Amino acid sequence: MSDLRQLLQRCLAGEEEGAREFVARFQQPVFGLCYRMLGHFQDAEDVTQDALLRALRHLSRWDQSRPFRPWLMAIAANRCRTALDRRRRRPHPTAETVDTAVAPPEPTGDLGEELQLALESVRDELRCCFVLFYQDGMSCAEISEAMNVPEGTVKTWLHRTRRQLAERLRQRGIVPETTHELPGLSSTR
Amino acid sequence: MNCQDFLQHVEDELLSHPEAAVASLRAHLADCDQTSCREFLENTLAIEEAVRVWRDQTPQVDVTGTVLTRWKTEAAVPDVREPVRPSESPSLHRATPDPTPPPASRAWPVVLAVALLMLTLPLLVPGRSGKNDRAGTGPVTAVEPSVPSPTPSPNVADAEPHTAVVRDRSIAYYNAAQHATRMVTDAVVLVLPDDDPSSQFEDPTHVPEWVGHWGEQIEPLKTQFDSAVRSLMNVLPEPMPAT
Repeated sequence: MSDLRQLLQRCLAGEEEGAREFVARFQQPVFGLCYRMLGHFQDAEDVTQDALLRALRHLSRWDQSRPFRPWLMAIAANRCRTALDRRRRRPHPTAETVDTAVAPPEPTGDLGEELQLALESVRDELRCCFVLFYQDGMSCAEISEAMNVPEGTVKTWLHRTRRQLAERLRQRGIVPETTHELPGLSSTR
Repeated sequence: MNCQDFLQHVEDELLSHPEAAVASLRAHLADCDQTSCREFLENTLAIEEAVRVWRDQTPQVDVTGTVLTRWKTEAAVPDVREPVRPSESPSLHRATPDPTPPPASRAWPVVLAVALLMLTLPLLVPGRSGKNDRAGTGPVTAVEPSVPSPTPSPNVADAEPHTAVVRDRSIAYYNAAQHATRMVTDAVVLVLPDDDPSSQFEDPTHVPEWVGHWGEQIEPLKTQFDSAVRSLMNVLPEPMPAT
């Protein structure tokens, strides 16, 4: 942590090498969240730049008695939310132009892609919570700090998201219909 | 422990020790034939496996150069929207959500609207407008009774055009007032942040979008101002040479 604190002090002092190290250190987790939230590489890249720039610009507002990562991820999550809001406000294409895009894509068989597809159907805050927990490895307490909700709410959101994702995967045929046998018992993990 | 309580326990354990949770679930199913328990296991296994694959599929990115370039550009041009207070820099302190932008940036649309309104006012004052106003100094004096003259004067001969000018100018004043009111209303709307009050997250660095896109936001004001000036110019009479 002291290493991080020194790095942040260097950024605050306007040291270019410190800023470079800062971006190199945090760009991947920030991008990971943005990419999973937005589902689009270019959009995620833009929002990542924006979030990191904002963090650098407003570094003096970070409370050093609190963990840094939730603060940074809160900025990224809010940038994603703004980008999603902006995307939703855009005029929708007419029915004639999207008649082929209305139907959901065929199951690809790729579990990762199917999970991402399912994830895009859940609410923003649930998705954010899920990504922070399962991709960034943040604890429920850290997510609670980042999203400004009680820790119990984070757990509830995670359970709810898992259930919704499972339901979605089941609808897509990724999870087999329940039988009277015990298929899970023979699988090796 | 019944199945419902057990599943609740496993669900909590999944967040901290997923492998142990799956193992206890398998052990439970050795003596349980409930469909809900079996379905829970199937879902859990599917999600855990999907998450493992999904996590490895996140692409890599490198935005270091772009961010540093933008950061250096901003450092060269100080951000006028958020003046640095000497007491706050460069020490670290508690992050406090800033729901409102600085007062200076909030107030400028109103200031601009008032300035535009004041620019419009001289056009409404006939004495300074450069127009030929033979009836007096404005619509009020224009309707005052004139002193009777024994001989017909040119003013009497111009009675009909004079009435038309008064009517047209009244319409102009009305339109100008209407446009000015609309401008001020739009300015007030611009001042109000359009953030979603039901937002779940608190962004310590949040700045409303309109601050960054003032050019687009101010466009309706400019259009209405132009429209007001155009309507004034259309209805006011052309200056006549003094005789």
